[in-house]
Amino acid sequence: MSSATSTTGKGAVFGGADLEATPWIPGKNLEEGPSQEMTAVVYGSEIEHLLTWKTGGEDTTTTREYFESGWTSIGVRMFHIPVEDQVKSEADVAASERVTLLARKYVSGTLSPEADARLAIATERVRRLLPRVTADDFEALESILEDLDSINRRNAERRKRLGIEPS
Amino acid sequence: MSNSKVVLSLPPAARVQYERNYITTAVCELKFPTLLEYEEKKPIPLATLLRKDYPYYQPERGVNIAPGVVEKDLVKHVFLSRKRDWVVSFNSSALSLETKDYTRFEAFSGRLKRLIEQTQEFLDTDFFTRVGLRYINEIPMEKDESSGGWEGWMHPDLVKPWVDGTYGTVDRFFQEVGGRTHAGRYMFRHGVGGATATGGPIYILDFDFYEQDVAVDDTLRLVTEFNAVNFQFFTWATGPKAIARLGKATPKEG
Repeated sequence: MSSATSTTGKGAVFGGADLEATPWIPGKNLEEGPSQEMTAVVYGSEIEHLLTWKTGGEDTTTTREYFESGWTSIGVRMFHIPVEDQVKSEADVAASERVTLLARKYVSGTLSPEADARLAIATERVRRLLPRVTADDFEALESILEDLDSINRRNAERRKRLGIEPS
Repeated sequence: MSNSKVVLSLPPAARVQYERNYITTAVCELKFPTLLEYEEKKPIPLATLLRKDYPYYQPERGVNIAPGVVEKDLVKHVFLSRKRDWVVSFNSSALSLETKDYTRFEAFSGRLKRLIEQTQEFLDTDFFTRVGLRYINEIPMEKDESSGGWEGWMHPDLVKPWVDGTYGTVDRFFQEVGGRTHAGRYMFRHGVGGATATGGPIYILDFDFYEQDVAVDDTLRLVTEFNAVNFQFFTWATGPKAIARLGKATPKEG
């Protein structure tokens, strides 16, 4: 994967953990909201216009903040994506989306039907674009099979030459 | 310096209803003496009470991540209305009503009234340890065509150094103020919190009004007062351009 793991300094607003943010669209269904920032992966981005403050016992807590453990993060988050990161492969994008959705599912324990469908689609795209067994793997297996055939043939010839019958 | 507490002093604002609003989240949170049994078990009686108005149930598990601490399983029970535009959240010491589709206070307070009536017996309390009403507004700003600046959207006293360029190009601009009103306390947070699709800033006005130790019977009256102060506060904090975007103003009765 290209530059998938770089962390921005401002990610530290979430308590110094190695967490990064993904854009959140205000007004979206709550199912889409909780914990999204805490679980997503961002590709080498710089967060701009981030308005974040710590909420505590003296605040009226929104559902969203509850899941962010007291961090209030409001507003559309704008990311400057460096040019080199904008040419991520389709596989990188699909894998990133899948990781985000899986993380959200892990944190909230459930996904909306829409998010569930998106997860299924992302998983299928990852399977197609990043199959566990690639063409290279098949070629390597074929090569091993050819070697085995060759070894078997040579063994058979040796047995024949030495008059050893196979058991 | 005198010890007397001076309350928020805002110019009066005519009571009107605009066609639109900037509220992206409205929430009323009622805290009550902790129901210890519901720290462990599911609030099944509450679910039964709310099932008609909030048919969708969604238990949520939170994660608290801090340096050296990863705390899971902070359970909150979320009940959603049929259109999923109203949300009731419950944990062992708080019940809240929230919407991201706020239209007018009467609709909000009507829901709140019904929620209090439905849950009073379940909560088994005649007072709330804290009542809070919070409105988060997001105001998309547009550059002034003649000056090229951002003036006219917010009260100049809130944004002057930013708007007149004293701070230069800012990466971050917000302020937090806490104080008292005649009806309780407030926390006011404001600042630039994002950008529109065209690159203009989105200005956040986050008003939180609250009071502690409130009799259940006084709750709606208090929330109504909070709302009135909020309207005054919002009217003061915004500039003519932001108000113009709200559409026609219809006088409110009463």
